[in-house]
Amino acid sequence: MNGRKKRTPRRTIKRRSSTRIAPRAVIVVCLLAAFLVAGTFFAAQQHFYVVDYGMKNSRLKKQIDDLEAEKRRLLLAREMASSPAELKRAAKRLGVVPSTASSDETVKVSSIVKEKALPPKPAQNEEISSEGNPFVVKTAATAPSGGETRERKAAARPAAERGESRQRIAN
Amino acid sequence: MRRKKRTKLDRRHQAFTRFMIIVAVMVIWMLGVSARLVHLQVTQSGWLREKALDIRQDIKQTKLLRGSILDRNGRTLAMSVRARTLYADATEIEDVEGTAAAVAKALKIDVRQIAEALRKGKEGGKKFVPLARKLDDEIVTRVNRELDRAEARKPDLPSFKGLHWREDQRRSYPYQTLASQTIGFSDSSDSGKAGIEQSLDKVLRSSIVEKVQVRDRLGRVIKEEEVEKEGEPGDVVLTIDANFQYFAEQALEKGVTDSGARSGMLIAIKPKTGEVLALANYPNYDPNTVTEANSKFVLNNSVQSVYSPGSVFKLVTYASAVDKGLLSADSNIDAGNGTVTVGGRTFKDKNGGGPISAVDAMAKSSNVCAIKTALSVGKEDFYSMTRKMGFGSKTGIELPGEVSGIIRSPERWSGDSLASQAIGYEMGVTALQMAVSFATIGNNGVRVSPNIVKEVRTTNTEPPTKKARDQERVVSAETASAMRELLKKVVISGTGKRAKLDGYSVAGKTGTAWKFNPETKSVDSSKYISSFIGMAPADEPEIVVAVVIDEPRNGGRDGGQVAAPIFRDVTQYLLEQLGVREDQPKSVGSPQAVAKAEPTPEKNSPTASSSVDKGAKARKEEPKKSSEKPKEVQAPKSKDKPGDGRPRVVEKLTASDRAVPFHFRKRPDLREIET
Repeated sequence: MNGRKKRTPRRTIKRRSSTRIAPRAVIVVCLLAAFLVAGTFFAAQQHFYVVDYGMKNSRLKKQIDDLEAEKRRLLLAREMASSPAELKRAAKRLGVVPSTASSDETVKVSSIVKEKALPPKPAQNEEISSEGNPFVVKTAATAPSGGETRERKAAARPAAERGESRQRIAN
Repeated sequence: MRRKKRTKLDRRHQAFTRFMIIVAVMVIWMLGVSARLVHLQVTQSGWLREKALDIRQDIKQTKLLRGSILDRNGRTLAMSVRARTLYADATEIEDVEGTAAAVAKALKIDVRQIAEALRKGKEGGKKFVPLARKLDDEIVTRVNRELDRAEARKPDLPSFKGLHWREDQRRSYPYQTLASQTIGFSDSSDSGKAGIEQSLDKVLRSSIVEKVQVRDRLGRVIKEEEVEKEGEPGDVVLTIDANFQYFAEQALEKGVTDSGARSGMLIAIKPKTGEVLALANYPNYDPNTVTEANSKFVLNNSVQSVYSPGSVFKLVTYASAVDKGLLSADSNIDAGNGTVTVGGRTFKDKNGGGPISAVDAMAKSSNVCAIKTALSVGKEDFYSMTRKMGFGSKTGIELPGEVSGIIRSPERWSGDSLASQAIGYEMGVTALQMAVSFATIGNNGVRVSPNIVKEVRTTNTEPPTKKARDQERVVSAETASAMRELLKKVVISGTGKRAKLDGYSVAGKTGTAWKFNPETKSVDSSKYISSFIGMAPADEPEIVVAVVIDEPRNGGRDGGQVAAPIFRDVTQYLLEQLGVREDQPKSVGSPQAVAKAEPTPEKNSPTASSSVDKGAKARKEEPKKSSEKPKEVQAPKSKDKPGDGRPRVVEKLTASDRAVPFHFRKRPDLREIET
């Protein structure tokens, strides 16, 4: 009995001591584990952020390159469009006749300013382009809006009206 | 008991032995692993690191875009844009026919051509088989769309097995033929082959950038780093003005075409700074399609071809005499009977003999007077002046292939060499050298080396580099002033009347020389080089313009008839655009008046009389045309188109406006409304 009695407290002591240490250890272990897990998650998150930002950065760099290339392309297009040869072609398309250095061209374009119909006076034109006058009469570089030219407008008018005009000149 | 004890000991021993065996095995295993690890980490670490990096890292080499060439106002004359080249890694391609068909369909090219290239590439195990070079971004996008195969599973585009894009660049010249010989061109490998592209290739050359890209398992770039950069290419700013250049080219083209000449050159230079504002050659070529160009047109004749200048060289002859104090503007030169014999060769003048003032001798371009002047100067001094003026050596302009010309030293002269050289024969000069000699006179006797590069812009942080200009006094300021006086008379009453400007005084000289025939080794009297070189305003020149026309065939062939009108048109435009103050009344010497003026052929030029007559006839017809044309154009138009009854706006233009192409003009003022 005594022996049993002696053994029993030893066991309880052991048990007691183990139960007394265990919660602390568990807490520490848990804390450490939580810290480790948190750290791992944090590191993993950071890693994925880095990867993500890296990809975004790379995309943005590519975008910058693309935009710069586009800018250059547009600059080139603008230069091409404003090149003298291209302007000349465009002017020809619009029906603007270039005057050359050697020829004294005299071409008149109807004004789009005044609408009032008035009879023509050719004599005045002759006076302007007379030899004594140092000036020359030049094509007015005003293209009619909407792609309409004087010729087209004249062609669009009814034939009777055109005939009437001719008659008026003859008179 | 003993037995029991022994058995117990045996078991313990057995257990211990087993344990030790296990420990030994573990230790051996660990040692083995450690040894392997040490082996891998120490001896093979480099190789392993490379292998690991290879898997996730990609080293990408890209070429930066080649630098641009700009005019003095910053207008782009040459620039590179990004392009891509489609290539095939033939080792990756399994179905050659299928790939060829898909590529041909996307690029709209011949399938056989692609199949052939792929087949050859596959046989040779080639990893780079170019299929379409230097495509624009728009085409690249379209091709990517058409070659999209989902099963390809590729990180890069196009999503088609074995096909890849390589970054490239395409050189463009937006102004096409403008200043083509000056700008030059670069080849498919972006290396400059002519003009500024060649001479400043080091500045313009596209440097290589090495980038390290870290990729994930799907091939996406997650990190990019520049590891090596050779230095960014720079931009070159030229002294040329695109507007001036265009105007000069147009005027030259017209002059060359009208006279039926082989070619022409025009140089406009600022005498004070040596800046070349325009350098035109005709015919020219389009550097965008250089493979189609005639190789002869690629040559920049203004600096790469030599010719005998003829009478225009009398500038040097008289300058050497004036600088030596042997001649002044008031001096008289005795032309004798209008002939002079030197070294057994007789030179004649059509002006007749007798004493003639130096001013008139220059104005009438007297050969006899020039020869006599050179004889009085002497061989050595004449040669010295020729060299000081820059003949026989390169001007130093930043253009490739410049020639020094042909000027022989006096030891190699024959008996009549001095006389021949006095009137611009027995020598070879470039148009630029001639322009520089006139610029020297225009800059009060100081020769400024010509330059065509205004600045080089390397990076944004660095200031643009400018080259120091060499300056050298050649003749005294008094000599230069006297020379300008002599040259003024040439334009007022001499052979260069057609060079008169409206509102500006001009000092210049005409030149008409027979061409040298290398086959016969003598001059060919049926072929001419006609030139006019002048400066304006005459007293304080702001610009020197040299016009040289090679082999004019139609009408008059003298420099005064062929080259002077081109000079007039170009110089008038340049002076007005530069805002140079007028030094003459505006109405005096207007182009109309000059056009009506009596023909003044260069009497002493080697021009045959028949050609002079033809020129005179041509000129007589000209005013007639110009006076009739407005009436012809105006009258029928007023009859044909009056029906709209609208008031007509008629604009008067000044003579200077007339010479300017429409696109350079300001918005016209509506000065008069015809009713």
